[in-house]
Amino acid sequence: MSTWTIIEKSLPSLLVAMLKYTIPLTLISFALGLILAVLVALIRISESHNPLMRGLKGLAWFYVWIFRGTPLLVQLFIVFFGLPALKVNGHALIELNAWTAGILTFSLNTGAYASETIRASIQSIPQPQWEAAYALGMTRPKVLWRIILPQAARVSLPPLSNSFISLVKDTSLASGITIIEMFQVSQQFAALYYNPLVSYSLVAFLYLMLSTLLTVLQSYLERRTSRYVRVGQQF
Amino acid sequence: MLSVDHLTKDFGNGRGLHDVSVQFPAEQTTVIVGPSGSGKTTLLRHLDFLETADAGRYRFDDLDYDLSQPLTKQEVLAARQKLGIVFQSYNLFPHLTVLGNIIEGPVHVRHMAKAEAVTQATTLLAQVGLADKASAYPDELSGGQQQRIAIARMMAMQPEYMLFDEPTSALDPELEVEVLRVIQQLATAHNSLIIVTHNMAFAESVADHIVFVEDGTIGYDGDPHTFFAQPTDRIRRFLAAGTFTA
Ligand SMILES: Nc1ncnc2c1ncn2[C@@H]1O[C@H](COP(=O)(O)OP(=O)(O)O)[C@@H](O)[C@H]1O
Ligand SMILES: [Mg+2]
Repeated sequence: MSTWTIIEKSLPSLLVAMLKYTIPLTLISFALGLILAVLVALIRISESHNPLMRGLKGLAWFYVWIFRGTPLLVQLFIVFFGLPALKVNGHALIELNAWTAGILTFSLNTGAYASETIRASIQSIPQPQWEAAYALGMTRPKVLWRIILPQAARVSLPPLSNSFISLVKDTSLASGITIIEMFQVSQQFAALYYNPLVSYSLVAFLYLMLSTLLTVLQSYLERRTSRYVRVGQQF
Repeated sequence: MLSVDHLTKDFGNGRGLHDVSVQFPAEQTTVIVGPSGSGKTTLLRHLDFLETADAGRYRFDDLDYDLSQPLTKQEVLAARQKLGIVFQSYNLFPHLTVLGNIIEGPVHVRHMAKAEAVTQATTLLAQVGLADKASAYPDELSGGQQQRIAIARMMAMQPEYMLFDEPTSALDPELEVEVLRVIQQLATAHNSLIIVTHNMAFAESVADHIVFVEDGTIGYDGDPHTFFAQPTDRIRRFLAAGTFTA
């Protein structure tokens, strides 16, 4: 079968898999991961000494340690195949479908990396910005929300975009937990047409298009959020 | 009236403030002078609770705090809301426009209606001579302009006392003048000002009251005329050190 025929026959299914699985998995997991990341970053920079906050800080540290320190594919396997093996009186304690397990794991994994990005960005905002805001009579949450986070968002945009682009590609690992996402579909075509080079190159091209789109989006956001910075100047 | 008594702070390296007592009379301009590293900034930062004292007493109108005890957030806020401070390095919020910087406190701390805050900001911008810069970002302005915006931002909170920490020491001489002129207007209008400065000519022209800080202690506290006309040996040496002689 000719290369073009293979492309013609497999492209529609690949695009469907992209729209039904790859893109939603990425968007939902990134959104959830980002919310989690901000919460974890705020917990980790907290200066509070109350026992609850200290407990949360320990928990946040542990979470980041685990999810940054182990392979994503292994995390997916533990959540999807491993957790249902936890049994009480012969009944599984946790039963997750592949979709839920995927979103949960991708969100937690992204959240762990992004929380470090956001924490570092917050800490990169100079101390005098805090003091100027405190001097206006702001409380700590208000200083964070109005003054520090908007500036930290600009700083964290390039590294967060990296995480986003990584996540798009990492959703291909979901094929390992039975999700019929784009890469899984391309594997089926590779077996069907006996031409792995064409099938896998085609899916690689589609991932490349997605990443490129995100890179364009990143440049646009960087321009928008840097309106206040003179060209070539870092502050 | 704002005052501190027996204010003590040790940074752990022997530096800080040692048993400092000063009164800052209302509607007067108090100028704080002294050698570099003597504790002027530290004193000013304690007044706005940007530094935590080891001991002492802080009084401001009806507020009366024992500084050897930890203060609550509410106590700190109560004092801060009556004070404004202008920093040596301006510290404008770079992500907000000039207008955004000036209305930030009124809208988000004092809950003033936005339209009212904008009207007030427009008046203040005219007062500091930057009416045309409302939509500029701080980064697009000169140092002198940024510092005048910082003054407008502070005034927008309508503080009872206005604090200035060497507001012009980061500026070229020709930019310094435009900032000093704005501060001088505030002094002439009988605001309550506390100014740390190295500019002795300016100090002499605006001060109602001079405080000389030396090694974390108060070396002089009184009227400016005596300070400049009949200085002690120590003050004479300090004043001479700031004067260039060929
Ligand atoms: N956070 C700090 N930690 C340690 N030492 C400090 C700190 N802040 C100020 N100092 C020291 O306290 C002394 C007084 O500083 P400062 O008030 O800034 O002096 P001035 O404003 O009169 O030049 C200096 O010796 C300075 O190095
Ligand atoms: Mg100083």
